[in-house]
Amino acid sequence: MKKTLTTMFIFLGLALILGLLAGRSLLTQTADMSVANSLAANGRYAEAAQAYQQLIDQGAADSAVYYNLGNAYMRLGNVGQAIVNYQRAARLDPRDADIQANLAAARAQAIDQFPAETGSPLDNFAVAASRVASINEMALLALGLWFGFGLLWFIYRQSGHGRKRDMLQFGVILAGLLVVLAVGALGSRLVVENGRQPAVVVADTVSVSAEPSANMNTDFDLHNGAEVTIGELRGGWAQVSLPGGQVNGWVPVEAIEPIHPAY
Amino acid sequence: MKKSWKLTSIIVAVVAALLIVAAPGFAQNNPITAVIDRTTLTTDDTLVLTVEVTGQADPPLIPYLDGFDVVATGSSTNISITNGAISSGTSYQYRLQPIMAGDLTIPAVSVVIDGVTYSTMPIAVRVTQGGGAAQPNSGFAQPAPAAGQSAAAPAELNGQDLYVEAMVDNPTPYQGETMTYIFRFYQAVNIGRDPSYEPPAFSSFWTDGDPQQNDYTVEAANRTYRVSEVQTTLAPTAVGPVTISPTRLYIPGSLFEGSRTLQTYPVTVDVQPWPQGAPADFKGAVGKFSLAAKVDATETKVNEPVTLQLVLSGEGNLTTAGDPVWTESAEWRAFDQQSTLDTQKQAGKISGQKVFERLLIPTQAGDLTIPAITYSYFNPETAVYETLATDPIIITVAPGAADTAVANTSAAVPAAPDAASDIRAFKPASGKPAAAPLTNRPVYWLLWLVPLALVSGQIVYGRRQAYLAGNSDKARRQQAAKTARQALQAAQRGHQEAHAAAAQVFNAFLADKLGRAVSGLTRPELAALLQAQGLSDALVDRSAALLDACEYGRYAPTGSADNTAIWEMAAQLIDDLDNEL
Repeated sequence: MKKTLTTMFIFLGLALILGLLAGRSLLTQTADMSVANSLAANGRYAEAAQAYQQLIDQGAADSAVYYNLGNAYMRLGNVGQAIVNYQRAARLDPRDADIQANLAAARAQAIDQFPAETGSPLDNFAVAASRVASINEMALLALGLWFGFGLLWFIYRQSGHGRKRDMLQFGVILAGLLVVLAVGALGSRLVVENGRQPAVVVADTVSVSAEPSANMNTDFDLHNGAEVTIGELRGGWAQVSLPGGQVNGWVPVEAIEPIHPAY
Repeated sequence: MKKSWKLTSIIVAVVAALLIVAAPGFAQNNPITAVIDRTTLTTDDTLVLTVEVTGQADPPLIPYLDGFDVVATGSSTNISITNGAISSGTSYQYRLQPIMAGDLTIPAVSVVIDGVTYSTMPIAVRVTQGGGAAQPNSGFAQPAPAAGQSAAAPAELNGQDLYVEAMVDNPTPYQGETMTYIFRFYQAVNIGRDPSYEPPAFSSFWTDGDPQQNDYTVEAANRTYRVSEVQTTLAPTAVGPVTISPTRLYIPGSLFEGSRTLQTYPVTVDVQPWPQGAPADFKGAVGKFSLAAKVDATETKVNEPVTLQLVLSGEGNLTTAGDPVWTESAEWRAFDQQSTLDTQKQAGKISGQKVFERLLIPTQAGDLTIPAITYSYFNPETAVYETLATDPIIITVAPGAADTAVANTSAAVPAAPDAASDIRAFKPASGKPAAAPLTNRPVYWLLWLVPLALVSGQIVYGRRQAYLAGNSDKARRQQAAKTARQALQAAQRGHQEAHAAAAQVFNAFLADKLGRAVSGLTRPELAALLQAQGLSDALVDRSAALLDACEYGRYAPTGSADNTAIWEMAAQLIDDLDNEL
């Protein structure tokens, strides 16, 4: 019994560390956000966008900052940058109705409209998962279930015979199944997101060439707000493909903005 | 001496004979020849370049003919039978019209036959000025007359029907100083077609891209010329002699005459560099300017923005005038500047104002100062740098507006009249986790190992316990040292008699290690037993010494120092034996 309590305290301590790990990033710098919002309220959208971007650069960004930055860009008429930042906000807070509404409004303003993409079952599963929970929520859920599974297992092994042990055995099996499901959802999303690098055209117009060279003939043009997927990068050029992956070509990297900032 | 002269004469004659024989053969081996029908002509004339190619070949490759326009082409094929052998060749004719005077060159013409390239020699042509093109002029402009007035014609006009010239108003400008490039087209006859103006590239110059045209008339040699003047405002971006390439005027052909191209001479200006000793805040503004600073409010609250406007006005190239050097202050949070330009052009001169606008947000309450701002420019009239400065501006800042701003943000955002009007409102900070994904952090994945390690450790521990439970002797042997140390510590804490307790613990330790009781053994038997376990003689002797000391101490009590020595001796020996047994 004493060992079980000790183990529980260890688990609780680790969970606390994990919570602090996530909580350390919860710093929001409300004052700076209010300044940026005040600028936006006064119609100074360029300065407001700069202030929101400073918040993001300082690491204090949350979904609201990205959302507001998207709003500022919408007011400035830069649909491409608006879509980028709404997408980033949606990645952090996929269940926020305001973000989804403004993302849809921004997409409706884009000049290039493409039919909805039909991906593989893995893609569809990852997309469905991304609409339910953010990547961090999924990561925390999977890790929490894993800790719960470990704790139940430990108690189960320490317990004697009887009904209590039978119940613990059921709990271990159930926790194991949940761990498998959560890890599967998290893994599929990581695989899909690391395999695809979505981006948005932020230049007014960009010419798409068959080869990464300014001397090549233009195959077609993409306009601000067009959503593409980045393939290969080569010497200041990015190979992009349109939804469905049927059409691709090369554009200068500065003409597009990846959704995932780390890319 | 005479003999030698004779020999030399013979060698020279032989070599000359060989050359005479070989030269035609060489010429015959080159299947392409190029000739022109005249080597001297005027810009009003044309010449015919004839290129003859022997044998079957593609048309010759005509290089870029600098200074010529190709106004007509033609070709003919010749077949001849000589001594029963059939040979064929093609003659290509190109009618060329020079578009400028001077010593021009028709470059080598090439043809490829069976993968081998054959070329002609370049041909030199001397072109003199004809009646319808530019003459050299001074390169410096005469002022254009007012609209509707007649002006003096240039001496070079000389009664020609058509004439073009180009010049600049300042042949020695400073770098960045505005100047005017003037192109004039004189026509005494009505050409009936709209000519096409092809300006120079203006390399090494900034240009505003908005040339101004002015039409007027001049009288010369009893003829009235209609003059079309095009003024282009420039500012040199390089120093030293810089040449502006010729301007071309293309006059399309008609039923009665072919097309023509008129071309000015190049114009060279000598751009002077800025003098040494430029102020640190000089960013390339050249002209004559004034500076003023103003704010939209002199009273505000903390976190409520103030707009600072810096107005640079005057005459000069305001477009290329650099940004001011702002003085940063911890009292103000500053945002990127935005600039607007409002210029006019009159008589080739640019004037107007450039407004640099910057948003400042006070970070604290009180009377805050916006520091003075300096701006330096180069005045080409006086050839010196001049520095302008604004006065510091005091802003009275009342405390705290941040909370209000947050509370009112959503309601305060105005409805945008543009396409973004249907988006939902701005939000206050949500307090939700930051952007960095946890999965990007190594510590997140390390935490996954914790339950794994605990579960694995428990499994290993359980199996070990089960194993030891089935092997009590082995368990006792492995735990012997630990048990002995704990027993020694317990005896010390219980103030037991040191020698008796140490002997008891040591015998129990040996019993656990060896798997048999040792308390009844004599010293030689114990020594033999320990040696049989492979212990060194030193350890065997130390064991005997410890037992002897304990036995002695039990019957001859000593002080506390000796007790401490016994405890330490026993503990050390147990550790050493644990490593060996």
